[in-house]
Amino acid sequence: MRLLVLGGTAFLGRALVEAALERGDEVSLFTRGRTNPSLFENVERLRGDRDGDLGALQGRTWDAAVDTSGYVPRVVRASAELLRDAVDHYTFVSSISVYADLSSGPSEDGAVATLDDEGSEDAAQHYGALKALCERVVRDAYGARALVVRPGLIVGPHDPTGRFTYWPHRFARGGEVLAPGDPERHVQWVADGFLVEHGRAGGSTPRGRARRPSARGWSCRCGSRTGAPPESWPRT
Amino acid sequence: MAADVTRAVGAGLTCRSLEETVRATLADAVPLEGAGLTHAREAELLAAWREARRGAPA
Repeated sequence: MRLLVLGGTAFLGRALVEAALERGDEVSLFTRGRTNPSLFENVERLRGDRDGDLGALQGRTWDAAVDTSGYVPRVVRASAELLRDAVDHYTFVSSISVYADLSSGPSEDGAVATLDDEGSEDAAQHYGALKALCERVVRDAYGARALVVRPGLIVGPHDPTGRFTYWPHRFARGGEVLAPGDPERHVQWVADGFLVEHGRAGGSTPRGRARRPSARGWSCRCGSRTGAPPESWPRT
Repeated sequence: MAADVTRAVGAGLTCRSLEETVRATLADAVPLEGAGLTHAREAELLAAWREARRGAPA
């Protein structure tokens, strides 16, 4: 498969490229060349900028494109429209944050967050609402040729936040471990490589409710796995 | 949060065990400086928690 990845040098995109190369796909990366520029030396790199410099994409075709770096509708629209007739399939990695209400379990048909000012491009402030608008752009451009994935907390080797990675390593260090929140609340995550496999399998949205553990259960099993089971759970 | 993943499971979604996730994280993921608590801060908070428990009514 000839695969175009918009992004592809950090976290999920990086895992996706590694998996694609492993299975023999012919991969092209479209990047600014700023993040991990020495990665994937034998992979075609198309230099440009999603925000205003898409020239390197023109005149090319691919079997599929994966967009792991779309946060602003205007920017996503530019590449989605440019590639509409250049790729057979377009996968957009969105987020579970698109849902307007996460206080209870979201459903795929649930309402998504909206912006009072649809011109806003403040992704830090309006991450979920902007992702929802990006989804709409992709669906408008590709229809049935689009796959929109709404992962929850993604974890993996190159997670730039370290928010999951901290815990296994902390338990491995041993001693009494301080953990936050209600120990009976459920926790969910999806591993980046896992998401890549299921996303590529087509159509599924891996959010993983099956066998979801409580925070206490996860900690106990994490602790026993690393040889440091928690003894108590501080509560505030 | 409890998302209904019936359709995804029907399409082939499976779950990886916690043990495997922990093992993979320890093997492949490096802790990031600034993520989580420092040793000192954790010890400080645990000491404060123990102190508060001592003073709490039985």
